[in-house]
Amino acid sequence: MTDSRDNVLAAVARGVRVGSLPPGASLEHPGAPPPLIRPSDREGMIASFTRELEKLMGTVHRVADDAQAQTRVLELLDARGARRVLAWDDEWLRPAGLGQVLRTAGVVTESCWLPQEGADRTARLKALDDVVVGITGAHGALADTGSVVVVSGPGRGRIASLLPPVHVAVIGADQLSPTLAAFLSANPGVADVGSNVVAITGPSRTGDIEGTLVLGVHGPGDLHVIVIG
Amino acid sequence: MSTSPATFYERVDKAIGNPALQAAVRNATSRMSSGRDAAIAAFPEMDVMRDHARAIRAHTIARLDHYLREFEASVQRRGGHVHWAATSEEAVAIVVDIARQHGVKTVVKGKSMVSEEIELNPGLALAGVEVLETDLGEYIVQLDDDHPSHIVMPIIHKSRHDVARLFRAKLQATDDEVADAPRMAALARRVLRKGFLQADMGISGGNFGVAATGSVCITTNEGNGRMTTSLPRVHVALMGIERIVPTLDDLGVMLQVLGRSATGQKLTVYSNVMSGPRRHDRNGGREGESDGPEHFHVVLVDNGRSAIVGSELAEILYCIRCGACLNSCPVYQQIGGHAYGSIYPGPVGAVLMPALQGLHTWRDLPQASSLCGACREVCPVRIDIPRMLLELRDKTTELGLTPIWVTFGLTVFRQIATRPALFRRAQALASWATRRLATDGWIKSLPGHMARWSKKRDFPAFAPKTFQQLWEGRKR
Ligand code: SF4
Repeated sequence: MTDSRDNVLAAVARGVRVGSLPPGASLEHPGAPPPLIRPSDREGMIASFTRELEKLMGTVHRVADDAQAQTRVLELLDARGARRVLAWDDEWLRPAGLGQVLRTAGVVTESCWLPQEGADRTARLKALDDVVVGITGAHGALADTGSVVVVSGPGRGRIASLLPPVHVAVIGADQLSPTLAAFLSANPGVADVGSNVVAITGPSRTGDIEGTLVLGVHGPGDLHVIVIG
Repeated sequence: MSTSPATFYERVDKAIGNPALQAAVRNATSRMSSGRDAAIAAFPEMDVMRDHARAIRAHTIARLDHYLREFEASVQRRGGHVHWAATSEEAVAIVVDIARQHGVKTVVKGKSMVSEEIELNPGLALAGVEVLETDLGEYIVQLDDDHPSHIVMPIIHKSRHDVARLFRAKLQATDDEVADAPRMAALARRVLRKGFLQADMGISGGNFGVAATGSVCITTNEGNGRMTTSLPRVHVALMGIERIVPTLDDLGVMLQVLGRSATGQKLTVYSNVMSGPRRHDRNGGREGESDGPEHFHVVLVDNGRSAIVGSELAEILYCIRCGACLNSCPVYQQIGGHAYGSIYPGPVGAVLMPALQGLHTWRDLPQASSLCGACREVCPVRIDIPRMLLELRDKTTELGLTPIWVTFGLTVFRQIATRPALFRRAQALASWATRRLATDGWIKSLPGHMARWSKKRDFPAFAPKTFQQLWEGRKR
């Protein structure tokens, strides 16, 4: 297969050298993306984030402080009769102390840790399959598109925002960026932070059957973002 | 898939003789086109963004060897593996090998057009590996032993009744389980969830590979792409070698034009960027990442692409597979995806298939266009598809491959058009004859040998006065 590597690269290099430059191409990188003018003040961003996510059938809860955020999380769990949650580790949850608050309220917080070995891994995943709510923080959020950007890492499992049918993400208003481009330029090393960076823009959906919108086909169909501040 | 291209016209006939199919395709394409149009109307910067997206793609292809090397080094730096496949056979062999190496018995798969192109599923089945398609549309295609008819929406040729019938037959679904689209999706979700939890390996496509960071990006709405790439202990991403972008910023630009052009979304629900396998701490303890695949493989598939670099068709490599050109194409709207007989249908396929596999096999596809230019209008990276269709038609003629009906018509036309007196008489005759054949000024069918040709085409009767006559009249 090393042969193929060299052959493919050689064929590409030949095309690049011998052929004419592809239409519209420059050997220089085209540079930074054109700027998008979007609200960048806190209220403007919260308004845009809320409008966009609600258009996609996500729910935004704006709360004044940590205490209210905790209450809101508990309310969401109660409304769904959820006594077990799949959550990020305590140190990564917002507001600080949320994990303890949940356990004190009698909620079991399951860790996202997955065994490496096949059979154990499957067993663990099966054990988590009936958990109804996943709780995470976020690395950032995008006002322009109503997205939350979630980055994996130690204590920040991917599966918390993926396996359960309900995903609750708690963020601070200070985590909003106006646009995806603004987020990326403020976080140039984001791919170094975790093996998975995902911008989640609304609940899971499909239109595969005659274009009929169905929510929650694989990922969470019920998405709540609690914005503190 | 290898439907014989010789039967292109039979397939078109079949499609046109199926009003239910035509209605389904027309509904779906017009729905997607209006979604796109609305999204673009609401995005004032779309034009500059498209220019920039095109510049990124063009630059990348102009330096593709450089960026491929950079991508490979970046993936390796993160502990991932890069494999190179010159042909589809080699690509399948590589994936089978990875499966063997990790003792894989079951695979869950996300949507990937490249996997269709290399015919991966039969190859894996032959090696005793069970594959489950997990995109709802692709799962339905797999259950029905069918092929996708659109690169973004695989089953626009199927009605919900078709799906209900299929689920009853193959999944023993009850009437209640197939009563409507949400319940059918819920049933599929239950079946597929079992597959996700126990699969040993996940196979995804790759919308983009980021050279600077060694990341693979896939975009999905359902979340099956995240499941496929997060739950199993092995992840394999299949990508054409042209799918590279230089940086994460560039990726951001591409994602913004992709979602809007494909489905009218500002961003696809999950824009999922994966950079290497799960990151463990030194002793595999709890200091490392909680989850994610233990092994991360990227298979870079050439399969005819490197030969397009530097050719007059190089522009087709800018394509980001949004499907907008399919939705906007009057020919695709009429005949749907299967009539093309190719993995990639529609305008993009009419250039890409001959470019990848040669005109001998795909000579009919460049003819399947009215050159109206709608594809170029909607393309997020402004690919000039009509120009390349013309290049391909020229080449077809040079190689003596032109379908007989085109050659015959043109020879007769040349004979007449180069003799002014004859040309005037022919015009007068045509005007008289076509007006007699027309209903409401439109000719729907022609007699004799022309019947088959006109079956697929309506065109206006000739004007009573020719342009020359009008011109003469004005001069007086
Ligand atoms: S050619 Fe352009 S419009 Fe067609 S699928 Fe590719 S990117 Fe989209």
